[in-house]
Amino acid sequence: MKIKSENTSGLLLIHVEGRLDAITSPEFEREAMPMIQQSGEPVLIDFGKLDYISSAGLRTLLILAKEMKKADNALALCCLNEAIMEIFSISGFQTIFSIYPTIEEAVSSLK
Amino acid sequence: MNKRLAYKLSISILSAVILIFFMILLYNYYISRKLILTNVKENTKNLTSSAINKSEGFFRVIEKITKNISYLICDNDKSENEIKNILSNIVKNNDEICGSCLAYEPYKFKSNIEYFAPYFYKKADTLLYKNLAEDEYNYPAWGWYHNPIEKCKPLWSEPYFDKGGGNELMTTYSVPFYRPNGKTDSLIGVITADVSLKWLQEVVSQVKIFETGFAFLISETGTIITYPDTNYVMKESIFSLAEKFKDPDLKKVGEEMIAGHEDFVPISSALFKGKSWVYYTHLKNNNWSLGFVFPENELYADLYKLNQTLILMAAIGLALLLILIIVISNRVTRPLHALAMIAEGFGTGNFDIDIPPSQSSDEVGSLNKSFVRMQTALKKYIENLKLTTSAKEKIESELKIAREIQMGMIPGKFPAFPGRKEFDIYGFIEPAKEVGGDLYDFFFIDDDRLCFAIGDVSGKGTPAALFMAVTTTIMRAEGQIAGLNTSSIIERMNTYLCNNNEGNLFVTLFLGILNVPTGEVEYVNAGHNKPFVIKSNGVVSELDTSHCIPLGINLNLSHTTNTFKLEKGDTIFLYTDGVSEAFNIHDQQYSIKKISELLLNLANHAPIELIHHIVDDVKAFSHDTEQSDDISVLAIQYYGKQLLKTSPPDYQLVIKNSITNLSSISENITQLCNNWKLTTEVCNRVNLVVEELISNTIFYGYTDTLEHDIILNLMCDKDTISIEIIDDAKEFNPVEQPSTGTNSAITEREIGGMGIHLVKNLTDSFTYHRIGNQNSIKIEIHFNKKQS
Repeated sequence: MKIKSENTSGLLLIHVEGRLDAITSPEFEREAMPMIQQSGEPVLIDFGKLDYISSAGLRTLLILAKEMKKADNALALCCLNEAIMEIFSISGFQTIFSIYPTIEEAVSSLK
Repeated sequence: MNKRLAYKLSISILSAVILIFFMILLYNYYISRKLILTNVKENTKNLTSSAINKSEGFFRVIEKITKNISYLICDNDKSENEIKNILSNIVKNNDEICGSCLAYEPYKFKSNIEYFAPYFYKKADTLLYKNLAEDEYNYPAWGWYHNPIEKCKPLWSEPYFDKGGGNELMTTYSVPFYRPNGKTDSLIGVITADVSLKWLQEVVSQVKIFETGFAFLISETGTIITYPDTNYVMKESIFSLAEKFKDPDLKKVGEEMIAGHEDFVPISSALFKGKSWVYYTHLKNNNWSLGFVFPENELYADLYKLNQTLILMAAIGLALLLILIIVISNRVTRPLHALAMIAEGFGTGNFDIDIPPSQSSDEVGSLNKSFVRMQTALKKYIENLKLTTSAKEKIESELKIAREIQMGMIPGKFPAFPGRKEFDIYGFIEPAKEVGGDLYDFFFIDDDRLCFAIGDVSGKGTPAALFMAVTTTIMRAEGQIAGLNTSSIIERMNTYLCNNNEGNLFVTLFLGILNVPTGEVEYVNAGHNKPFVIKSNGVVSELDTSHCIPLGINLNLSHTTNTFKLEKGDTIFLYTDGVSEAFNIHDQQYSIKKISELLLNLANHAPIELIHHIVDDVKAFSHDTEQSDDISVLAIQYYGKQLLKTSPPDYQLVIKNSITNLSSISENITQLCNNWKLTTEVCNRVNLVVEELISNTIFYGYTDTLEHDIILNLMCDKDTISIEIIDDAKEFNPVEQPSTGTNSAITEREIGGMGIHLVKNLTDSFTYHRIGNQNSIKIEIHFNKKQS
């Protein structure tokens, strides 16, 4: 799992690459949490290069989402592949997250 | 505690003392009362008798004087002056007499004088004279005159007011006097002596009884003659007073008095202002009655005083006693309190408290010494206990390790031969103690021949376990030598066990060799329970075997080898006597019959199901009793030769319960999926399911911090991936977990419970079994190979 962040046009964009499983999700949380806490801007997570997500990854997303909600800021996801989309759909996460097919669409919506 | 004990002691002793004291006081009161009453009666009689004597004497004197004068006068005629002289002398010389009269019958003094009654009386110490015949007095009409004449004897008159005479309240003693006149005496007149009631009053009032006690005098008719309250005198009678005060008791006393009786009675009368005693007696002179009134409190004054003194003394005594009790109980309980504190210290494990030595030789002192002894003994005991506990813990942990070793000697991983589809084998063992003497084993001698055995070492516990270990080892060693048959394996085992048997143990053993391609079984039964054969059509029968003696007893075994054939679907079920001889709380045995009955319904069940059916039933049967013997069961179901056998390579992975091992699982699964040419999607799905379930087990399944094995079996068919996860974590059935809500908003969403939900939705079959102490989860994921 690799994580990169950049500030573009008034939002924090986080790229996640690889796997979000029981081992890597705690790392993801450790790294992403301070980023979103400090940014004060809407956050977009790019799952374009995410290969795999398990419930541990979902759990971390949920924790981040609750944190954003507390700060009254938007959290959106984009570029989910088919398999990951299925996991989101089964878990019902599809309905609780704003999910966009591309970064551009996400950016324009979040503005 | 100190205070409470002292308090209890004081209260109980004081109560007892107070009770005893009051009983004594009460008794004393009644006895004293009785004594005092008797005493008072006596005293009263003495006291009053002098008053009575005085009164009677008083009256007697007057009577005598009057009578003497009558004799003096009646002898001869006296001149008027002589008479006046006599009368004036009487009145002058006698204080008691306030007046004296000589009243003549008509014409008896002088034939020319009809009435003549010279009367001398005292008025303020002056002697006065009056002729009662000279005014309107009309003396013949007065009672003092005519009553004695009528009765012909001297008489005391009723008290009266002598109006026109002495003009005061008085009573008169009248003596009729006669002169001889032929045969009869003729009445000449009446000589009288008056006694002033005032005088009487003075006389009676001199009688003082106690403080406020007094005497009173009543006449024949009950009229009050003297009384401290002079308003009553001559105006009231005792009966009118009884009426006035509505006092029947007083009336009764009055009746008794005028009847001339004498008594000493209690009376509660308003007239006497409260409780009093009355002593009354009769005066013989004039039929009057004298009464003496004693207020009760004065009568009992001594008694009251005595009681007061007693109560005062008792109060002081009780106060002193209380102080004494408190001091003593404090002295007694203080060391007890100190000991209690020490005992409390002992309770918290502090055995190094200094117990202050006690000098006293009483019970507290001996308790103190006992405490010191107890302290020493406890210290010693605790030290011993620490030593033995650590020794015991060591033994226990060693036993635990021994158990693991022993269980490790018995094949425990199932499916045991995932590649062999011709048969299925499953075994289960549960020692009654940490380690036991039961055993089962199975192994391939060569590609086609499966050697299997079940046995039971005599005895239980560690010795049996060691013998079992030897037996298993020998069996494996001998059995692995290809070409051997059951007969020679048994023989060689027996020889070894007989020659190396210092403990004189033996083992019953059923040893068989299954020819996997044909289903033929040859076997030797060395004293073991007969196995059951369950035919695929449901017929259950005990394997008819000829026994030989158990191994380890005699070098000469003289055994026989038997054979039988397993058809497709047949099962052979082997067990030790821990199953058939399990006891329930009513001391009943499970019995072989019960096993066979249960097996009737278990035809065509896989060995694992069959065995757990039996084991669960036995456990339910004896659930409230301690397991008395090791339980071992082994079952083999024969399927026959599988002609279509193109199974993909199966895969087994055993990992330790650490989350970091997940990445190696993921790598292995990915590698395996590549080998099986599965799509990334299917591969991810397998990965996800395995990760969710194993991470669940690792995170939540273990109650200890020890290392545990988790077995992961993977099989791939042409369109199905079968996953089996076996762990020895606590029982947890994920299939039965309720699905988490998936529609709640972010803030309401529970973190957790998602993994199982994902597994349920990503798999085609998801089953759970608790097998012995293991969780077994079986999962199937169907896929379409065309996708690849």
